[in-house]
Amino acid sequence: MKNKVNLTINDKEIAALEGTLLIEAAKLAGVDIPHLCYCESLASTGSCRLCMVEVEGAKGLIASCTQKVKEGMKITTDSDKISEARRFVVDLILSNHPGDCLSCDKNGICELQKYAYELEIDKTSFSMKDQGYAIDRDNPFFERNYNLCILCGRCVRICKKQSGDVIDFVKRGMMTKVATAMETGLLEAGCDFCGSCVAVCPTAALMERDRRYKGREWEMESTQTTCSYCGAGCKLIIDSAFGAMVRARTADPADFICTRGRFGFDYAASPKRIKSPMIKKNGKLKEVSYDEAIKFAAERLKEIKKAKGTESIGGFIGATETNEAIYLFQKMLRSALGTNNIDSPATFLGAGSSLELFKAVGQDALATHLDLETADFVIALSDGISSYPRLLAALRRAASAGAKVVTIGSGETDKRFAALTIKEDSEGFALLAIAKAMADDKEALSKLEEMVGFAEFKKVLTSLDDKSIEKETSARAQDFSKVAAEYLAAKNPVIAVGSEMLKEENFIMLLTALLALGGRFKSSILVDMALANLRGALSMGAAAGYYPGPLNDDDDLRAVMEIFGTKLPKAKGMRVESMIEKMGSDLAAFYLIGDDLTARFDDGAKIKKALGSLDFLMVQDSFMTGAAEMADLIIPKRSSFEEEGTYVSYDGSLSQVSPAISSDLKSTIEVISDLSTALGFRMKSSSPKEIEKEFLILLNEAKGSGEGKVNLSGLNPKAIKKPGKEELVLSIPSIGKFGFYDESRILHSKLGTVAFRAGSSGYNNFAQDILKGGERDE
Amino acid sequence: MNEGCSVSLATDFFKAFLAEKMCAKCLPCMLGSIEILSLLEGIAGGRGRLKDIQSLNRLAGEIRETARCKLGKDAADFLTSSLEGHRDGYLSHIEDGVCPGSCCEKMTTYVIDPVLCNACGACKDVCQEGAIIGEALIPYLSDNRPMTILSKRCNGCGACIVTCIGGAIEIV
Repeated sequence: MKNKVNLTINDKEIAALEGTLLIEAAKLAGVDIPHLCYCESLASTGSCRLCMVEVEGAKGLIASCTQKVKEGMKITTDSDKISEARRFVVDLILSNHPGDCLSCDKNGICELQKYAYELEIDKTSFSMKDQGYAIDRDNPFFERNYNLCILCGRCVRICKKQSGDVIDFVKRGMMTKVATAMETGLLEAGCDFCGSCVAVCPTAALMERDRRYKGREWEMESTQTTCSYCGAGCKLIIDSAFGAMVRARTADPADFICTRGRFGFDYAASPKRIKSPMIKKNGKLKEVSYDEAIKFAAERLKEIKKAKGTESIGGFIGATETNEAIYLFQKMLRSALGTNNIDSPATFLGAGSSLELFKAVGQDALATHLDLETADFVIALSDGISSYPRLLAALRRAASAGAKVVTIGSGETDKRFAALTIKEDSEGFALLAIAKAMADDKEALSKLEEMVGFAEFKKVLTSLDDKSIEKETSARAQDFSKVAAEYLAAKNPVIAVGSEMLKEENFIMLLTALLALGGRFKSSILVDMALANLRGALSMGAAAGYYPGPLNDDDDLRAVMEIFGTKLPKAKGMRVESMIEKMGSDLAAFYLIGDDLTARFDDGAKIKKALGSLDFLMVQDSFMTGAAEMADLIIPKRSSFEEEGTYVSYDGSLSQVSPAISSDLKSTIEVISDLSTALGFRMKSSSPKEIEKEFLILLNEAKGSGEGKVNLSGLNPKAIKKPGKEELVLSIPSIGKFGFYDESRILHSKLGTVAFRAGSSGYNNFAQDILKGGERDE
Repeated sequence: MNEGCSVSLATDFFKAFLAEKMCAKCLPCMLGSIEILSLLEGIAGGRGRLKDIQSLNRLAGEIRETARCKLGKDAADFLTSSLEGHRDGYLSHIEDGVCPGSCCEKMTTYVIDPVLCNACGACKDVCQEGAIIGEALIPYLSDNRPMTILSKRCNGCGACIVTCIGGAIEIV
């Protein structure tokens, strides 16, 4: 525990924790000291010299962003001498910074402008210097104007802390500027384009390109929402001006949001969005009204239900929909249509497995990104980690805070991590090797003795020798021993995995065993989710075998029946693999919302054929996806920036999704309610708030149900493999550096340019098109 | 070259400071020294004004106060002492347009002493600006036009002085 230090700031006595910077202490005292280079949560460099204060007894002025508090300090934050020094600094900066505030987009929030105003400087008293740099527009996301750069270094520091570490000061003296090594393009340098640098820039030196000339700061409306791209549940603030989204940001500029969160909103304004319901007649799509479309769908579904039975109808909903939509969708299928044939990506991207893991180790073991950032030792499975940008940023933050981050995987990782390179798909074996090395420690092993299946587990571990470990993983056995020893010695270690890794039971057991060996059942495992509402899709029961809660087939389902007001379907229902197999034979009608199944799996052609063989396919999506092309009825879907509802984030918390822009389209909830009514089943709740109330009852119901004991039986080292490769009929597509799980949105956004980058020349053409202002949706 | 001229001494100091020591890690030192250099060059170039001395004093004082390290503070101290100790030198540059050390290029006139000049023409060859006119002496011929420096064209680079073997070129 840190001691408190007493000090006086402007005659006000305050107590601050030891190690606090003066500028932070002043904030506690309610004094905002002017600063340009200092940024909360980034290390201070003391380069702008604007935050100078007088300290009693000290020679000259002291920079308050680098000086820590000391007992009995007496500080003055404003005096003639200080304001003269501040005026001098701003005056000098203005001599090097064109005063083009008239049409500058930063006008109003520019920090330099703010201080020039506060210090009453109209224009520089020194000679104006023109640096004459060209504006750097080498990427479609943001531009860098060196003429406006004041070399505060915030972008450099934040890039080192949480992003790709690609920029730094280059050259020296008068020629100093911020650039990549050898001044190559950002793309070449391996920039992730997360835009953290743009967010912290105090001037307009770094600017979002979407934001330029689209509205002044005071013309914007802000909406707080949750990012819809992955399950990290990042809180976004969407600023819109004149009915269009212009910027996405976080409340604290130094918080991390990835490329997708910051720049991926432009798909909502794509001209290729589906704008009206369409019915396919004689192979041609015809635009119809919502009423007509709903009537058509209800008629066809009723016909098929009558002719082929309820089991011939199925549905699939994407995990980027809100809880409300997913809940209503499964309720409609189960109650109005009487089928359990329902699925969502939750089943094959690992939400179900992570639920089982949490059941085994207890909810307390679940760590958040913040826990990870303050951990001292981290083991992360790194293959495919790029589809969890928030997790990657957390690892980088942990590493730059001094933690040791060990990544286990076959691909390249960040230079800040200690990489343990293994053969592709041998993560399971690597975990087993670490468990074995840990079990060599008698004390660690003794922790397992009480647990079910201990003898069996011990036998498996002892039968493992170094040779087989090396053969299976192609890494040295002593490396695993080292990792194990450091894990056992660490104070608060965290293991981080992506949800799609957890597909296999052996993984769950291995992770459980690792936690048990270390005796770490508190904030020690982080499972990040691949899609925004992956956990929500499961909690809302959008999977055969799960009901809202999530409750299992084995649980008491009376509460569900009570709330549904109907009996639940008897048949167990099919998952998506079986549904696709049975399409055209047993399955005749299919309702697909917000997920392009043809792009989701590797074998797109086969799925497309299967969808084509259906009697009735109804697709609700924003774009003309591969699945939508096969549909008999297409209904437009709102983008996630137009919907209202909630998501369940990776840590199980409910986060609010609010509409940032208005839409003429009907929301998914409205469409499902209308269809359900047309089918003869009236939904009790139809507004997002009412639906939330309804499913929260079931969520609370499920909370009580069993958190099991650690069970170690059934581990079979021969069966350990990377999940998702063999046991599924359909395999999950391999993901590149920017593993985008939802292609349809990405391809209609600027993000497509980055998605192309993995080794294809397509990127350059695509980027060039955008740079020239050409057609975006190509 | 610049003995006796405090302005060119200070200019050279800040040129060297910007080229070598100045690290650009704090803004007042970096931007301030650039500003100081441009003011000093203005004074040496005959464009100086009285308020430049004020500016220089402010720059020196504030850099002393705000610079992060000793290098910046020392540079500021150097300027302060130069301004205090050689105030007359600065004033004569600004008010009279005269460099007391005869070294500020814009404030000096180069002349050729006709007695010492042997009319070899070496100075005319090295002059980049073509500021020297006259004819080289051809043996047995008289009546050559004497070597003269056109002060309008002369940029005061001093190349002719180095070339002249007779020591006929001087600065007044």
